[in-house]
Amino acid sequence: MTSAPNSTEICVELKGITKRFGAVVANEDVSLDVRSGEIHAIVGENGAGKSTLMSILHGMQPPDSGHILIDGKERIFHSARDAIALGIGMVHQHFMLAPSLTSAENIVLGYEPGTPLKSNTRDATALVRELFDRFDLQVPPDTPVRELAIGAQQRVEILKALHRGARILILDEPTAVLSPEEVETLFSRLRNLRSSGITIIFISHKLREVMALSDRVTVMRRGKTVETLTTSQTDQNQLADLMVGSSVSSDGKPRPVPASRVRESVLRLQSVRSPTRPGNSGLKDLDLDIRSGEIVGIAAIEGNGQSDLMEIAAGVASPSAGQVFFRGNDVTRLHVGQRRALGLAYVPEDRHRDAIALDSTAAETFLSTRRPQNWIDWLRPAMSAADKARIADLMQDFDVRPADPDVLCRSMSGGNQQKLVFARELADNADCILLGQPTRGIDIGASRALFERIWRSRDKGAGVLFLSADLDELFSVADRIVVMFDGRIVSELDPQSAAPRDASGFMTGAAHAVL
Amino acid sequence: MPSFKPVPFRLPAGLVEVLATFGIIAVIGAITLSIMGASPVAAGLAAFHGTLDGTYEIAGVVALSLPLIIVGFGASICFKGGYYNLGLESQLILGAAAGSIAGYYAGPLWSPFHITLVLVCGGLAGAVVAAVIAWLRVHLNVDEVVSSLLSNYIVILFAIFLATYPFRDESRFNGAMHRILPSARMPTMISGTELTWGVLFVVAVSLVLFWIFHRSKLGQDWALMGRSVTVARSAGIDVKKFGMMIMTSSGFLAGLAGAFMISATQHRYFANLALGLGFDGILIGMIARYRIPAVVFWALAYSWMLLAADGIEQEVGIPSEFAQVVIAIVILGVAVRLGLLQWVRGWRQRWFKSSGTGSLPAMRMFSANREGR
Amino acid sequence: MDLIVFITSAALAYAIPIVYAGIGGQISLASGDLNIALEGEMLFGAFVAVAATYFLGSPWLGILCAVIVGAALGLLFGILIVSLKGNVFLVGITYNFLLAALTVLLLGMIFGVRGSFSSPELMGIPKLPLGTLANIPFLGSAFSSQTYVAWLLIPVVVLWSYVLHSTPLGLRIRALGDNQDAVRSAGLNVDRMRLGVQIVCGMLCGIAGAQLALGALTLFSAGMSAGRGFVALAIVILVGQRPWMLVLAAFAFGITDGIGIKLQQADVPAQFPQMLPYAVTLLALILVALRGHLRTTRRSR
Repeated sequence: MTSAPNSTEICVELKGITKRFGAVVANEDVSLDVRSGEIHAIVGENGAGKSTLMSILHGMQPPDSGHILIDGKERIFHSARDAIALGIGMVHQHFMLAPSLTSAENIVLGYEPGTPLKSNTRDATALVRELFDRFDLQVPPDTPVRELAIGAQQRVEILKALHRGARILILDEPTAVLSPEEVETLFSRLRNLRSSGITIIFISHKLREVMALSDRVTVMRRGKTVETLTTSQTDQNQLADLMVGSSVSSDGKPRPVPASRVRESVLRLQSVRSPTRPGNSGLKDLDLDIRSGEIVGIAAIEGNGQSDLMEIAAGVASPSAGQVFFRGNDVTRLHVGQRRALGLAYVPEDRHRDAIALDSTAAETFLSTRRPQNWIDWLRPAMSAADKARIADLMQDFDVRPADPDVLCRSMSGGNQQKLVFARELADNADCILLGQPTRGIDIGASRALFERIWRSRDKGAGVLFLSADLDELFSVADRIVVMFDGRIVSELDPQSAAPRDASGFMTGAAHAVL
Repeated sequence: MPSFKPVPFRLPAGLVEVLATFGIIAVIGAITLSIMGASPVAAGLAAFHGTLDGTYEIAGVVALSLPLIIVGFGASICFKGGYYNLGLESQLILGAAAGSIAGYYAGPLWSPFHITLVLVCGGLAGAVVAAVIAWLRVHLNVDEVVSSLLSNYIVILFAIFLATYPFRDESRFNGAMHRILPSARMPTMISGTELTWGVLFVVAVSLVLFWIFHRSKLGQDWALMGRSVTVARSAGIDVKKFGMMIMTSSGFLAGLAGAFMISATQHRYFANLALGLGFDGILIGMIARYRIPAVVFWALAYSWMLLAADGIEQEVGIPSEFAQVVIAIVILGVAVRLGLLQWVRGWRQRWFKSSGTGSLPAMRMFSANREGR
Repeated sequence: MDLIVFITSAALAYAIPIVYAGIGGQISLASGDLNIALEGEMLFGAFVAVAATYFLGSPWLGILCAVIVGAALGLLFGILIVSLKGNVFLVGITYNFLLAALTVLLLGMIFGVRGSFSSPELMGIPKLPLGTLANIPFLGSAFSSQTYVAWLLIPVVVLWSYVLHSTPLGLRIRALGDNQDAVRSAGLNVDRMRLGVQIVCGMLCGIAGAQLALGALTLFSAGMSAGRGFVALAIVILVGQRPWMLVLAAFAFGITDGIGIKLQQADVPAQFPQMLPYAVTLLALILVALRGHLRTTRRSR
């Protein structure tokens, strides 16, 4: 499928790059060489230091030590502009787009056509159309970016880099937000770009994609480069072993089988709707029943209504139509605080936006979900000595470091913040647990520990709704997989008999199952 | 916006902070006075004689600080909850007008009851205005900063209208209400001074608010609202209800401060009474960084500085606004202190990169400040 | 007919300082900072213009000084919110307070008066002679009493409108308010841009202040900006990034002010006409918010 490029000329060389953020070492003595005209993949788990390395290469932050050589010459970048001047373009995982400007305006931003005294949208549009033809990448030039689908926004990002004269293109987790079909299109475009002489650095943690696209691959682990291999001479298992650092089989521990008994419904959504918005399908008459003692996994590509589903189930948002039942009682009108009091636990998808205030202490974060039942509760002390001791114990138990209730969340690492949220949500043995992307930003060991706890809660009779972008994870944890597309449930799969690839057909709307 | 852990108010760190801030005020004040051609020593003596030299003077400082303490609480709890009610100024004035009306037209009544009535009427008047702004913010997303700033002009003019037309005392100059009945006046605590037994009321309010905002569950959730509304919502707080409560209660305290002034010292509302007092309260809340005990302290310090500046004006001839200028400069420093701290740190790192010297004394002071919370 | 002339003149007197400050606010908001210090910067500009004109004997030098001091105040404000990362509201409130107190303090120290200062030696900004155009019915007399600075507003608005929508600079400013990271990733210096915007904003507030104190009147009085900066801010929120709408809205609010002044001469309690411009501004804010509210289906609680 991929042939190694003829050229062995090295266009990017990083030597001994080290970068620290306070006590955290993001990159330690990293070395990397990229050949002209190849697609070079960089793989590693979350937090392995891939993104930091790339932002150093793009001049967004300076390394503490080490050297950057472009075309054999040592370079020091003071800002992204220096890197851009040398032909290094970057497509960030979180798009750097101004949402209310048009795609043409976004593409030319900072490198506008015309003179400083005159450069209007029409010039920009004309110039951008030229780019479209040259690279065969199409987007509507006069539409505000916020109205474009995610895939089109990504094309705007790529065009932006190309407009700036990029000959080395860095893509940071470009497939995370795309459907499998869009991924295929992206890959064929990237191959086209390669044949027109552009070097591509492709960051991912999805080994299947790396195998399909790249010429060479560099594995990173814990801030260090482990090895660089030629893709055709390796396989997924070898890469996985290098990423994790020990020979673990990709499946891990077998999943405990749920106790079979008659299970009543804990959370039921009936004909729930939410409005369609740009980049988000909303929900269209969705029915879902979560029963006691089961883990329901949600598989969907971003923007197909799964976030609305979580928020409506939790009571953070209200549906525009339909009802939500908790243990048979209608709770549609109750907000998340009232539902928590009934026995609901909720780990929001976006940790910093919804789960943790950085200026709160661990103990305050922990106690924030405790809802007073009457007015006198509001006036009682927020925290007793017993509370504090219990929180310290739970933090110990969930391996939150440091296990000090008085520490500010701001000073904790992302993984520890997430573990603190688990400790908070799982401590009270809730009847229904909603987990939105719970393993985002935590390492495999912590994920394993979390799964153990989820299974234990399930075996005690809790109903769990589990939303994850990682299909493999979903299939190894859940008892039942529900596939969503365009705001509807399009399929239900049994992970015992089905495999992740079965889900992807439904996720794109290509296949339809009869429910 | 820097926000701080609310619960403990440790004295030693607080003391360091107070001394540091006072030191800065003294230095800026001395420099300002020198530039203006006055002797800082003479000014300092004048300041002392005008404010601390005798019971009468000290009572004057305390009496002036009482409404400032209450409105300072209003500003603190509002900003702490993440809402910027800049209409405290006019809510205080409307509270004074409402209190003045209740003090004259209702009664005579049993005095404690009548005083309570005046205070409650004033508080409610402020609360109603704040509630309207809050409703617009919470339900229609009208930016409360701009709407409350505009509301100031409307509400103050309305209060002046009340004093000029429907509730005017015909025997007085234009735009003054009737003097409130004796039963609505707070009894004097130290005769010959303006200090009334109202001081006990303020102490009680302070204790209650201290409990609520530094100890109770309500205060903790309140602070969470200020740190992140989205986190508060996911934690189960009804953010609309809380938003209404935060704004309305700050308006209530502002109105209460106005009515307190009427009952304790002024005894009637007239046009231009208490102009600027609400903004003073906002400044006090900011310099105290939204902590209840610190508000009490800084309100006392602020009124001391105002009276001291009056003394200086009489003795040395420097306009008393110089005190406000100095205070404003210090508060700007407080508002950007974290950035300032980073800047000093970066500067220090560059400076001491090779020699590796430890922290400067000034830096330790700043750090202590930061831990002070 | 006299009424129309009167109201037009009053509206222009009210609107012109607001438009200058409003453009400053518009630049600032387009770049992402809601600057509530417009009020204080305008007031201080008025003071500087009066003091400089009095001592230097020329209103042109007065305007120049007001602009220079405005630039310095804008730079300081920018340093406080950009370089030192202060909260823009808290710094803005304190800034207004500081500058208001400073004008009273300096008024007392320099002129030895409290409250307000006026002098026969204080020259206003010259008025642009219109020649025969002054004979145009109705509007001629209103327009012929306008200063050079008032007329300068037209090229300023044209220029600002052009810069915002037809130059790279305008595009970058709009992008800055939309997503700072987009600008940063284009390798542009976000902090320096924000500082520059605040300097320009301060300069415009300086001109606004000069026109306020030396345009229709020639005096300085404490707090004479009387919330015009806040009205300007509210208008900016209303009109977004449309400079000509800003002019139109300011003029509309100016008309309410003119009507208010006329009503004060009638037998109406003076306070209600005085409220009019603020009340109308607030009402307009509410109506626009209401429209937005009705348009979007609100999901979150």
